[in-house]
Amino acid sequence: MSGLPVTDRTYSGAAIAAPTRTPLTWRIRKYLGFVFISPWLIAFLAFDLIPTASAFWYSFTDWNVISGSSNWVGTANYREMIEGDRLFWPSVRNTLYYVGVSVPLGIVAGFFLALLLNTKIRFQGAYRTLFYLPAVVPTVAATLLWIWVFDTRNGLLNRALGVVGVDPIRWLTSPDYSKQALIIMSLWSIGGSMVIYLAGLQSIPEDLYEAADVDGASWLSKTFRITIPLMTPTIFFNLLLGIIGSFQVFNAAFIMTGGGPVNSTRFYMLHLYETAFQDSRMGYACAMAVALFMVVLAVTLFVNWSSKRWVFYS
Amino acid sequence: MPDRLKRINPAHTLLYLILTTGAIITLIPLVWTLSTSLHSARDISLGAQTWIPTPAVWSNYREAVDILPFGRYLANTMVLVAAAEFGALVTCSFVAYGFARLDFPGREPLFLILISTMLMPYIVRLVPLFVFYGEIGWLNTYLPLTIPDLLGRNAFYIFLLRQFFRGIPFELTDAARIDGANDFRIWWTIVMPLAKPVLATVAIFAFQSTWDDFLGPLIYMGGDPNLRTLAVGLYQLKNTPGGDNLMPYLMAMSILTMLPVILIFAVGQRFLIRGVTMTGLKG
Amino acid sequence: MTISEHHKRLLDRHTSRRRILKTGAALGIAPMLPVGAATTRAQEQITIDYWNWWDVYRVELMDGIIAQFQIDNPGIVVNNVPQTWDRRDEVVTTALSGGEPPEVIMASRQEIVRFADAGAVAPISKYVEADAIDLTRYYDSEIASMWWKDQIYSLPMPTAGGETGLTFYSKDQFTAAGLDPETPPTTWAELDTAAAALTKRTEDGAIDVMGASLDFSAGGYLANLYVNAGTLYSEDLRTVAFNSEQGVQTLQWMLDFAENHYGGYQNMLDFDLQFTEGQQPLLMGPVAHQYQNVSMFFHIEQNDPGFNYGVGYRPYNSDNPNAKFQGVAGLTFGWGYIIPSGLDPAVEEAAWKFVKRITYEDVGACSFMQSQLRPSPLQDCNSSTVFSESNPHWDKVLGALESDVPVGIVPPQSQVFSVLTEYLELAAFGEVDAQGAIDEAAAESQAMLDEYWGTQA
Repeated sequence: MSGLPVTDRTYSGAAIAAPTRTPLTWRIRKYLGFVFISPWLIAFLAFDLIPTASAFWYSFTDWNVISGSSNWVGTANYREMIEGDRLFWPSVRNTLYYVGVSVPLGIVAGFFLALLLNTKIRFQGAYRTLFYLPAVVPTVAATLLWIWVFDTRNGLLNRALGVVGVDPIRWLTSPDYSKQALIIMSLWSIGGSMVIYLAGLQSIPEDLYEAADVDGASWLSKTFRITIPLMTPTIFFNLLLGIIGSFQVFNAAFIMTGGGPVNSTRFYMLHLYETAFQDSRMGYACAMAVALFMVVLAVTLFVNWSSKRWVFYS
Repeated sequence: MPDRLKRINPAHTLLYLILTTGAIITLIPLVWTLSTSLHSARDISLGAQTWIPTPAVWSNYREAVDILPFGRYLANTMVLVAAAEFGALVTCSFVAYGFARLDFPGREPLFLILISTMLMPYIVRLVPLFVFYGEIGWLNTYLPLTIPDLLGRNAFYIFLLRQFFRGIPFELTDAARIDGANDFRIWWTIVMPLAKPVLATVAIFAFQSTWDDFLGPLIYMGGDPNLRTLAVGLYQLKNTPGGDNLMPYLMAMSILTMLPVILIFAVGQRFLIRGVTMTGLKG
Repeated sequence: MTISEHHKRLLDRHTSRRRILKTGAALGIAPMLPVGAATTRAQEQITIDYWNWWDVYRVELMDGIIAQFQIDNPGIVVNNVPQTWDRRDEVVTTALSGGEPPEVIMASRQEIVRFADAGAVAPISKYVEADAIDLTRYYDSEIASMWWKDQIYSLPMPTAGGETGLTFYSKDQFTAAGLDPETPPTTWAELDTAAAALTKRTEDGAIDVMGASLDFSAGGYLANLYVNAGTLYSEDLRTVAFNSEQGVQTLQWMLDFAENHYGGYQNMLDFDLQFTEGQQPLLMGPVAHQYQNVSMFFHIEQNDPGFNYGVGYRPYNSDNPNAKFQGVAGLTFGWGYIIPSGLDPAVEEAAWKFVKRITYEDVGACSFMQSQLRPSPLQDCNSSTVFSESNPHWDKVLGALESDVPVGIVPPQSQVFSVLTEYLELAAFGEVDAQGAIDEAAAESQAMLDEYWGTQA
């Protein structure tokens, strides 16, 4: 695959404009695509564009969702974000930290796991199912059981660390570790990305490895010289999905820490949520959402642009 | 490489060690969930929880199903799942065909827009959509959670399918075209059968995300208790202010809710991975 | 535990639930009837969607009340819609923001004021007047928070009283620590002594037994402020008042308490984390004395009816000559029922009839609370012998309710509380001192009040 589809030039109309086509069929075919995409187009207009456009509009108002009043306030919301809102920048920093750590870690862990599960081992299917399990645990149950894992004194994690002589860590009760705790929790459910890596690994031609075997290459050197380069498109895909998802991290902080301790897990979406639904300040919340959209879009475009340098296309 | 298997390989031992350790770490929290679900509410309230409950209170499962109308919740969930599946397998595939196999003016910008719909936080759409659904009388019906899906609103599935469709050699479809088949027939009779593994993948993703969706059913169908889904029911069991300790029931219902998804993955796991392989997300 | 013991426990659990339902029936709540069974399908049938958080076993109780209401009011159908607790802010906000909101919504005291101020709620003043509702039947502290700008928007139910006034303690632990189990601490000084005697810590400083619970949330701090003769706002609700000498003193006392007895706030957090949802540390042993509302009676009956406990009042600061024991109604919880504005007049009136049933009329308001053994905001309800016969501590509950004062509520209350909570946490973590935390929190809260009142000019 290519990077983002924007850069896709592998297929163009010219390829099917075979000489046998009459100009008329060609003209019809030129618009036939719209017939195919029309269901999505309708859904997009009704359920995406109009609501999103109204959010853009409301981001310039002081829309109070309860009273329904909304007055044009120009860029006041955006200025408040930058200068007035004391919790805005901490929430941005927390989110960037979370994205910056959890996304690369998730990629490394998911990829490593997939490498191991791609070897010919007994009970391969059972292992795969097992590692995939956390991805299907209902959110409610998952957060409750992780609170229990992170308990400072009797929690599973600190007990395990205690065995190797590590003093108890205040996972959820210290601002120094709370983000790490949520990142660890996110790693638990890497089963989803593991599946996508496994798929990528399976499509690497076996003969490449056989050729390397002939040269007496070690497993490590095969991994770095064959597997990883050929897997870069898959990694790229997971990177994009990971970034989009992590920027919107919400559930864990909402249910487990409520943004604390000392605002250390006040993520962007949590701040946005409270502004919108506890304070009824929907106009300001819309401005925050628009800003997030812009940032995620910019990051996505940047990653896509940079992918030309490191994604290997066969 | 069958001979490689036969050798006793220290690297292999290490591999099993890592995998088994990882599997245990992954599994322990789930074992705890199961264990909690088999304790009495009183044991949990008083902190008398052990790894192996004696005796196991299997009746928690029956009672959990009694406290909330589990059957109805299951049926509601299945309605949404059915719509999501149809939308993912038929509509998204249809749309993906347009993006993958046909050229038309504005295709690339439209595709970029499609991708960017994955980037917008849900919160900003929530209230405008709620008002809109209210005005057209859709609230507390299945419509807000079925019609958009049926129309192929899910960009991720379209993206996956389109990646696969682009990889199908043009010789295959051109041959059919020469025989007089139009694009609708090509899509239905050639591309769809070829895409079975990818469709299976998309089907599993659609199943899983619909199954676990809490917010949509809560907001758009929450006014009618007869329209609750399993995920909403689970949250309803949690946190009743001043009420019972419902932890065992909550955990029992979590296990019941997880089972179908686990079974589907265990059975479809090979299919799923092969399916993703074919989307072109590969080396 | 043997199997028979286990079964007995299970049976007890059911007994208590059944007993509650039976009490309900005896008190005049009709047995549950199919919804709408008694109503003839008149042409002008009005449907009331009623959103509430009376979940689990209380659904049956509420259905009983509704069935009776429908018999008494042919032509009105009430749909009982218990909602999920998680994300209720989102659900309520969205419901009120457009479309067709439910006709009756159970709302917290803070929400009532916020929604009323935004014009999203219909005032019920005219109905209160027309039906000659005797507002003096309610505790003054309860009914006070139903008003906003000379209009009344709801009637209270269940009570927000007794939320902050009561303490529960383990008599056995008091005895073991050499304290008199019959005299709970009544002042801050006595609480300090008790906590010192009751608390047990490990060698590395962690808390094994917490002598007396302490709550650093905004609600927990303000409850202590009121027993130190402080208040949240000025009378006219335009000025922040917790930045008084008492305000700083209260926080300082809490900080010292946490430091002296528990080695700091983080130890307390670690201690709390050990308990999963629904666990009762007081019954389990690790907490000896705790602030808790009346729901504790229910937990005790449910989990450990033989638990040897006493009930006291929140200790006050006896060093302050103006301070005395008092509870604060509506500070942390407490509910009412709102009718969204803009309904058809006939529908609004029907909604009012139902609100009146569940907040004022004995068959709905009194019995519903009595069958849960919880007090009612209606004073005369609480003198029923149902309570005093089943609860030996009932006089304490009544005492707490009578001591209650109302707390000021302003539309931006949630913002003020989150700022306050934040600075309390910073102080608890030692990032700022008591004076600094209160000053900063007050300055920011005052700015919010100024902004709000500025828009009202």
